[in-house]
Amino acid sequence: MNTKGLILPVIAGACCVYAAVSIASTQPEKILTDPPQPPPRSQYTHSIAAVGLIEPSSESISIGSHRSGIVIAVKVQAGDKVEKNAPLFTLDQKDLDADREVALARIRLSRADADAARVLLEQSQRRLTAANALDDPRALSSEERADRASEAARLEAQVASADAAVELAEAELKTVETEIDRCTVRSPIAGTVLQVDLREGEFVSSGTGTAAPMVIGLIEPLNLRADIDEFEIARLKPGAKAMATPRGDSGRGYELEFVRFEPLVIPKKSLTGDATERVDTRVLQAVYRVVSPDDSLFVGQQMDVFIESLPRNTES
Amino acid sequence: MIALALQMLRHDGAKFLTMVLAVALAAFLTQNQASFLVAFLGMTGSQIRDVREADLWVMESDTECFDQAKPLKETAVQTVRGFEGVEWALPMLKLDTHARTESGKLSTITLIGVSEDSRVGEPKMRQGEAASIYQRDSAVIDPGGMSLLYPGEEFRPGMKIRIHDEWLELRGVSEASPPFTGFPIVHVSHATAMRLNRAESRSTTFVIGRLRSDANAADVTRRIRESTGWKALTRSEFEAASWKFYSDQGVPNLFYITITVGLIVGIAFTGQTFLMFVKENARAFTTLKVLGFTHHQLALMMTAQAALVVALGLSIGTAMVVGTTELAKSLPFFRGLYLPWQVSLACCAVIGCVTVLTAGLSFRQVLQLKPADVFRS
Amino acid sequence: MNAVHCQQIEKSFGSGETEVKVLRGVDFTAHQGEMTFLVGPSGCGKTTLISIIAGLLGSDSGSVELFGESIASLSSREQILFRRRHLGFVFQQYNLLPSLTAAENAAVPLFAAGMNRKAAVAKAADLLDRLGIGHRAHALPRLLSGGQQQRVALARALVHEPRLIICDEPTAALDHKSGESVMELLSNSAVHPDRAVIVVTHDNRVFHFAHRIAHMDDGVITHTESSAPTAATH
Repeated sequence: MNTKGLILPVIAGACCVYAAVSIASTQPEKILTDPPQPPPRSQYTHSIAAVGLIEPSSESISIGSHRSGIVIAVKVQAGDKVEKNAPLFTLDQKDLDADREVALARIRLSRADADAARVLLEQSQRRLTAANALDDPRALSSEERADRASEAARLEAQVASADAAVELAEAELKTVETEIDRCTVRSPIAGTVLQVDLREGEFVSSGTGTAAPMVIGLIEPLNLRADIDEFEIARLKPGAKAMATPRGDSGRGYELEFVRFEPLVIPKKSLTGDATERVDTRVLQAVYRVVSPDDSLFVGQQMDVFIESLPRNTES
Repeated sequence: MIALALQMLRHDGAKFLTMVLAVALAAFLTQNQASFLVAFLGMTGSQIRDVREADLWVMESDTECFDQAKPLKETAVQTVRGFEGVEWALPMLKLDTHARTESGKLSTITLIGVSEDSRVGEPKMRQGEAASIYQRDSAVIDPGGMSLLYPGEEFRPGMKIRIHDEWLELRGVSEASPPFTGFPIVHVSHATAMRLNRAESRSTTFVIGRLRSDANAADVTRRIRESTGWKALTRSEFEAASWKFYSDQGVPNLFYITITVGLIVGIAFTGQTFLMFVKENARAFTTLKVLGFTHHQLALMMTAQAALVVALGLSIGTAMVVGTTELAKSLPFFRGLYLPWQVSLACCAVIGCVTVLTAGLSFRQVLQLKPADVFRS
Repeated sequence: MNAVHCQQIEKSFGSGETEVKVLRGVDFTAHQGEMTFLVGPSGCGKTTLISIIAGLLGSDSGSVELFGESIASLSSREQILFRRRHLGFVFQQYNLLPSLTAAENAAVPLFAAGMNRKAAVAKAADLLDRLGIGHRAHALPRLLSGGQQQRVALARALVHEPRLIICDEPTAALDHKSGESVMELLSNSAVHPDRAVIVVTHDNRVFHFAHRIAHMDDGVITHTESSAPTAATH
């Protein structure tokens, strides 16, 4: 046994160790790790998954205005609770105030006209009565008498006309006042102001197709509108239990109570907000009531929904 | 007796060394080429393995590998969630697009949108924080992309990359496994990916998910397949499919040739040298026969000799492979290179068996030695 | 009892026109406790005869009995085991394994028998000591002189205490002095009441060690003579 004969085995032994260690330490890991945040999971054996949006039970009411105009006062803030008919904001009404003055003047004018007509009518009636009292044909010709009668009739008509003019003027005033009333936009329901996209001095237009200046809804209770893929409709159980978890926080689960299906199956609206989205799916919308909502649930929040369902044909 | 055999072998240092080095050469060539082959084809599954959380991949039925994937409809993720045996499912958006840097460098890139819901598929990071991709207009890039798009530059915060006419800020360098395509891998949030995804309007390329631990994977994937017409694969199935897709395109043939040549060269060398060793030691073997060694004992001795040669040669050869692999790994393109233990084991087993077989052929020479020749001078 | 008893052994090599009859009916006997010399000119068939006696070669006809046992009736494996157990060999060219030390070479028959390596080497070294080259027990053969190598070979032939030792020209490669001392050692340590020694040689300088000399020529034993060994007083 000389040392020379050991060189090769020793080198090879070192090589073997090196190779083994290196190979062992460079093998790719193929483990399954858990997600950094837990994704939504179904609690039911058989379920239909859907995405849903939290909405007010009244649905979201986009407040509109009859009139276009400049806002002079915003009476509420987002989050305010409002009663039915509570004023929300008012528009500038200076032009209407002027119109009202005109209408009032016109009423005064027409009333004066009517008074004058009535005075003339009384005078002619008096003269007619006196003529009728003289039954001596010589004292008053029959012609004269006939004239007095027709004079009275004409003045009577004049009074009626003047009265109508008063009524007209009054109606005009009412129109102006209605317009004025419309300058104050009121809440159609008792609910909560969800969104205010309006500041004093801004212009509100009455047309459609423009963004609503204000959104109001009844948020007690909250509803959830779930989009269910039309392919899953066959598996729906009426009145089935359902659960929803907020996007990105699947730890919080909310129990849902079935309210109704929308009767119409519609093309899926993209929840991502991308207008160019091509529609390739039709969905049935189901409305649920959130059984016990808390403060951290907001209208418009996207939710992952699991609805207990019938098994698939291919599932036992 | 075995010690005797090894002593005989080691006494003939030159031949011993030749044989050991021949085996080492064969071991080096075969394992080196095989590991390259495995590593390259393994890269077809890089992005699949990188999603460390998911073991279920659902895709369009025409999708054959990660790189060439057709999108799914947007509700696909909900559909998959509804299957019994699926613990959870999430959308993954992958885009093949172009990126441009401030200096004007242009490259095709693979853009991966990570779902911000649960951050599944977030890359491991070399520099920076993975969570930074959820900030607006942010992205992280892989090391290969760094060297391709920013040659010679170190990563620094504030670097920009332009994708689809939008400038994103690079927030870090990921440890994304090198892709087979060699294109840069850019990770962004799912929302950012959706925004950049103008041409292709769908939001989901793959649905990635996890099977329930008590679920039968084959059963779940079959049900998904049958109900939806999509392709549902486990992670390893998808990896295998990607592997097969590329290997069917003839990529590995060149490697097979080199592996075979390495095997033949090494074994021919070893066999030839072993034969010479036996011939030169004919007198010694004849003497051993005369002195009462049975054929069984002689066979054992030669097996021991062959085994020693194989053991030393394989050790040295494997160490050479490991050494070159570690050197090559410093290059960005080769950073996915490694020697799979299965490949190493298989190569070593084949070389070992074949070497022992060639030793067996040499043993026939020993059998043919005539004991009476011992008296010839 | 006769250690070796051969009767009418015939052996030829080749066939047809090239057939050469090497042994033409050899009768040969070697006795225990004796050193029997087999002498004759080159090519007379000595080597073939000892090959047949040792079981390394089969005979065409005739019988060989070693210690009353017929070699031809044994299977080839039994022949090997018989050889391993009962036979020792000394060769003209020593046939030591170049990779093994003197002691290891001497221990090879013990290795073959499966003896523990350490014990075998110790026993062989012991024997080398007795043969006077204990100091070279751990040297490789190439560092030994011819006489020393032949002593190692002798130790190898003796180490497993065989009943028959066959020596093939043990002194042919040695100078006179070394040959003489090797033969001296052989006659001193190998000759034993239970053992026979056959020495093939044509070195007439060592004939005086023989108890019996069988002369062979052209494939037959021509005559056998007894002689009293004149010991090693030379």
